[in-house]
Amino acid sequence: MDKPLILIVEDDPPIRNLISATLKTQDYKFITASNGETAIAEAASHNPDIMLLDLGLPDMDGVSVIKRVRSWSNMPIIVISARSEDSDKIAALDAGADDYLTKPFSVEELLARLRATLRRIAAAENGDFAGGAIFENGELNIDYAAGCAYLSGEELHLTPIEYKLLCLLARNVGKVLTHTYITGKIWGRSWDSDIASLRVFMATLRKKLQPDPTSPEYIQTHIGVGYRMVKV
Amino acid sequence: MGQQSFLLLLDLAIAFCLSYFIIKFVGSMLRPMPKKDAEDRQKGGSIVKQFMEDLVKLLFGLPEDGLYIRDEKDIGRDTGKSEGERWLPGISDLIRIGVILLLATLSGFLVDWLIASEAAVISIYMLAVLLVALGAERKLSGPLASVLSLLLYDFFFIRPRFIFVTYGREYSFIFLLMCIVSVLASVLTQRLKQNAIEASEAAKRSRLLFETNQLMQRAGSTEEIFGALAQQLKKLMGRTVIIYPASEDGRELLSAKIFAASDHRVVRDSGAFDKTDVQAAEWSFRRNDLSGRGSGIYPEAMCLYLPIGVNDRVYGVAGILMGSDSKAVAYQDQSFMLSVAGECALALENKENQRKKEAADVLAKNEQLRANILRTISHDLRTPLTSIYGNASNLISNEDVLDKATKRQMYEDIYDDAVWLNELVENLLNITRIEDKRIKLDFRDELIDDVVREAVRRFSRRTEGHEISIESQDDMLFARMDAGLMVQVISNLISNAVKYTPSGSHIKVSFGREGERAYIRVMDDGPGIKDEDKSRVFDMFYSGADRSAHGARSIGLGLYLCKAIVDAHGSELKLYDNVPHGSVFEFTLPLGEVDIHG
Repeated sequence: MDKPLILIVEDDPPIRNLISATLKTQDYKFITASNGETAIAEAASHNPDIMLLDLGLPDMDGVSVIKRVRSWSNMPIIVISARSEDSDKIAALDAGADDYLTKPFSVEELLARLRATLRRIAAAENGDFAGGAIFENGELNIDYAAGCAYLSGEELHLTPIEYKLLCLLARNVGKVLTHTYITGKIWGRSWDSDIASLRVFMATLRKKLQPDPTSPEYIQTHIGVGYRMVKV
Repeated sequence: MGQQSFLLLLDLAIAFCLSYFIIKFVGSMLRPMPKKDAEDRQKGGSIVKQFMEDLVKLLFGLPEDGLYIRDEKDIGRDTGKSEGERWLPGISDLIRIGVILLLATLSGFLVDWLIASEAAVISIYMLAVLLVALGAERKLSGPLASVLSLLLYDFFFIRPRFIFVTYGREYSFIFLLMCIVSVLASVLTQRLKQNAIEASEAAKRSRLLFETNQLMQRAGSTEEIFGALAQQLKKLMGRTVIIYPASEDGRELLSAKIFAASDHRVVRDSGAFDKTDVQAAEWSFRRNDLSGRGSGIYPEAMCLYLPIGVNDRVYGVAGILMGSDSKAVAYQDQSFMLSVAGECALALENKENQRKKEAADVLAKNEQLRANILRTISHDLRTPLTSIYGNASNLISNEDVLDKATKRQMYEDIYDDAVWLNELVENLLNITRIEDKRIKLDFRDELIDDVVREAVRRFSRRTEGHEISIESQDDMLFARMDAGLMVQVISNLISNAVKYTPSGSHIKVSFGREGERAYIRVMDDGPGIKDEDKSRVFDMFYSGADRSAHGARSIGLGLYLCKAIVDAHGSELKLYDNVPHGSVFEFTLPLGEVDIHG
């Protein structure tokens, strides 16, 4: 793959410098924007591979930027937000963002997220996940056609709901899915009781996928936000 | 024969007129009246009346202020009976007359047979009439008894016996005297009875007043105070009471609360009264005076309104439902009502003063707290900032000159300072969230395992030789909490343990189910916390007297925040010693009630 192009949308100069300096160390190409309108314009004209979007922009709400971009592009969007506020992360994810970084973040975290996203794009381009009948992730295999899943060759005994959850996460591997998004997809609605049940189902599912703490973690819990299946 | 009958009738007529005169005039002098009119009377009023008053006072030995003149126009007590009825004897009186006269007649026969003295027999009838008058309830019972005595005496004892004849002049005199005696006796008895009733009424009022005083002192809220007032007024008047409380700023009346006489619940029904009543209530409120039925202002209103006020401040208006009954309120009852309303107003005023004082105290405390926070933080922020500033500027100027190891250390110091500052900012933000009562916490059923792992994960970088382990009885345990804040609590507790225990110590987070709740414990096997410090560790800005194990500074907010968050979850953060040494921080949470459905 060519050197990927990353769009950095950040109004605070020192942080912008920090990110661009980090990207330089990895030889990534980048363009910058310091407000929402410019970001959308740059995204339209240069079609970057990934957009890093800070949520505290001066002219527009980050969520509006996401919605506008999503209307014509599927490019991965990673939002950057302050730690204490879950609500803006959830709003961004529901609007179409894929992942989030909380301030303050270390460069390792930033790079790790970027790498994971790039891998996902590459795999998608190679047709690994899109529309495929089989899903493979480390020791986890899902046979969509047969309707069953395997861990290290052994069949997983999942309830219908657990299976649906697993497939939903698998089809969106690498993306953080919010509670409301998941319950909406599985149950068609997102009442408080549904979200509470979701936690229970996810807990049992995770136990089945990660029988002991030493085995790899396939499903990450993002407290207050949602869940994500990671590519191991 | 005709002449004697005529004489008899004449005497009867004279006696009747005399009785009427005595009852009307003397009796009326012995009834109550408002004091101020009594004083007026004593100045004005005719000489004759004045003379009679003094005479009566003298004769009956009544005290000065025990004697009032009744004026028909003044408000008087509603007894529910018309004037006429109080004159005519009722059944009980008639029976009494019958029995006593029968006994008298029989005794008369006895005496006549033994002593054969006319005077003795007449005296017996005199005594009988007196006894009737003393016990009688109605005014005419005495005179009636006199007439009957006379007739009986004539019939049974004047010779020839057993006929109504032979009436000599001397009997007229005796008869007249009998009448006067009976009338005076009955008037006095009435008055005594009246006094007794009034004394007991006065005693009742005093008791109610005392009771009111006690109730007002004990009453807590404004509602209770108004309720007590309504209750006491109801006890006295036996009528429905309506209270209109005034608004906080004292500018207007709020909607009424009705305290129905038949039961003790407060009934809401504001549509019951028409404009006049509302106007009367408003008038009483504005002018701090009586209005409504029985007074000169808005007399057609259904209630009598009295202001609940003291010192020009009116706290509300109380209305007593008089109904279309036109009888108004006795003077003593009026005084009572006003005293009770006054007590109520005093209690309300006390309450308000207390509230103002408390509000001022809270404000002062908050101001001081804020000043403290600002001062401490600005002071304590300087140190890490100085360090960052120093290290960074040093690196800028002397990058090429410094050796790698030194530079490495400086980078790490800058990093550590930044981490410290970040933690401080998080804690401060969370404290403001907790202390701002307007922000509602987001309580949800969360998997304790998730929350604990997240808290531990935040520490993976900074364990500095400490071993952090998680132990759980049941990793599918759900508890009700605000996840974000709870992560902060566990994170702070771990951070605390790391800071104050030497390298190589073990830190364990354990959770499980205990009865109806879930417990979470963060324990370490370090040196532990001295007993005298145990209660102080949760104070704001308290950091251990000895430096932490690594000489790292602490601003002392971490545990304060933990306690505040645990409190906000309705629980208690406990601290006790670990065995053989170390500390355990423990709190419980309500179990999650998760209802699984497909």
